[in-house]
Amino acid sequence: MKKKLIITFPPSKVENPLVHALIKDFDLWVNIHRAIIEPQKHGKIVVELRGDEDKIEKGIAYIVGEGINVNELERDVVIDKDKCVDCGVCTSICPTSALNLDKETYKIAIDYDECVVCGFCQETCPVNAITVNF
Amino acid sequence: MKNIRTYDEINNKIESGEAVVVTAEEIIGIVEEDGIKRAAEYVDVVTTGTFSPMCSSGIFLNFGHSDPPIRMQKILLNDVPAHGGLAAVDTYLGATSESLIDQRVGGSHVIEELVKGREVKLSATSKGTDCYPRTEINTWIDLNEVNDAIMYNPRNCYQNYNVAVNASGKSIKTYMGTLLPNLGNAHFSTSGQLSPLLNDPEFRTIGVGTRILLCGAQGYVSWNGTQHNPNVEEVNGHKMYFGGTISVMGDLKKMSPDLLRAAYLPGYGVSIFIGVGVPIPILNEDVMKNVSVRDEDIYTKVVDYSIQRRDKSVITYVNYGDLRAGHIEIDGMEVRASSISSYAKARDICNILKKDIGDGTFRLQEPIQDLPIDVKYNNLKVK
Repeated sequence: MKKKLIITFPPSKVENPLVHALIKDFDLWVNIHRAIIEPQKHGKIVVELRGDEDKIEKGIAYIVGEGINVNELERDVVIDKDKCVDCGVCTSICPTSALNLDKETYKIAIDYDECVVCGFCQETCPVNAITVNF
Repeated sequence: MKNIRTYDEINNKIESGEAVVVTAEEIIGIVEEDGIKRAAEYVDVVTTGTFSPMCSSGIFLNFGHSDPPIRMQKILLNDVPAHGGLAAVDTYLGATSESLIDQRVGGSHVIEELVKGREVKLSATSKGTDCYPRTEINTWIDLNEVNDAIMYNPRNCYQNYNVAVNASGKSIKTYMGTLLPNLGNAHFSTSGQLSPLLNDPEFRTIGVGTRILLCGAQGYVSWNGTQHNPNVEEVNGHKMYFGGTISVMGDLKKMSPDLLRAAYLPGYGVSIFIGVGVPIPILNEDVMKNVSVRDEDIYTKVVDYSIQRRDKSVITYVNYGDLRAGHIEIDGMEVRASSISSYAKARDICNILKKDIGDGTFRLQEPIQDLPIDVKYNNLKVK
């Protein structure tokens, strides 16, 4: 199973060896898509986990138990469908082709498996319909 | 070419609920199956539509008089400058006028606020005269309170805009969106096979007075658009029409925020998405031939927008079938393409117009004057 998450941790937890624990203690394959870690600021990592479903659940529970926030991408990369006009400008900007127009309806959808939370779409959208919380 | 039906005949059928109306997308399949001649016999009207950024747009407003009255000279609406040279309380607010305090916001955002029924701050100053003694006013207005709110867009529905690419080594931010370096992406802006001016490319049915759907309300083609310069070239055995424009007008009070939307193109400026629907009466077989046009048969020019000059050379020609599929080929390279024009909303507009004609609430209007075809196009000389 695979899962993409945005992990947000307070400055006090910057030293927690999160990734090391996920790999070693929970036997998970970990890919870091994006990370911003600065002194005295909240750190954020976009990470993809692969492994057994129950081990992923336990890994997430461990992180949360450490007082660190975990969100699935769907919550942090959002298209406001009332604002979106389905123009499609975001689709050719997206570096991983995660944003696409449906071939039948010509409406926008995000493929969260491909999204790396780069935020280019948020900058490009002419009607501010995309929010990337990172 | 002998006409098969007249505007009067079509309108009579609309009134009796018997008009056969299809969209510009549906007609493609109909003609493929039945052929032009047979389709022209039974289809009365084809609806076309587009929903794209159209910078040359704006609204006339009349505020009514305050007591004591003011002859407004400097006018701001939500800190966006509006024109102060139209008598005492008339103004024109252009969509691309930028807010004095936030360049990401402008006239189009004010227009959208008004259409959504929200209040907008009005500030105006004046030198003061004997008959208009007031020199300053600060108040709030909304769409119900103003006397008149008339959308008048000098240049809309540009026929077949260029495809924009960027062959330079760094990203550029343009009115065609953010263009990635080294032909990283391509942006286009038309509804292609749904587009009004690509379904009537020689202006046989669209003229001054043509009734249209403008941002969801009934409006009219008021004149040719500014810089109207219809042209045709041959590309790959197809006629490539481009350059025509129309000016359009309608009552803002009847418009829908679904079909009018403020836009900000990052690094470039404010614009506005305008939704236009135009019905094409099937007067004869020539008209039917034109409305059955498909994306794969409509060609356009690919132009390098990193060239900061007026005249940018054409790199290649591509068709809307490839553009719509998301990839075009330039010099053997596959380039990702996307639209700034919403095909989904253009389709919605075609369907809304089809329904309104079917309901009998939208009658076709024969133009009272043709649009010019043979037009001389000038550039601005610096003297």
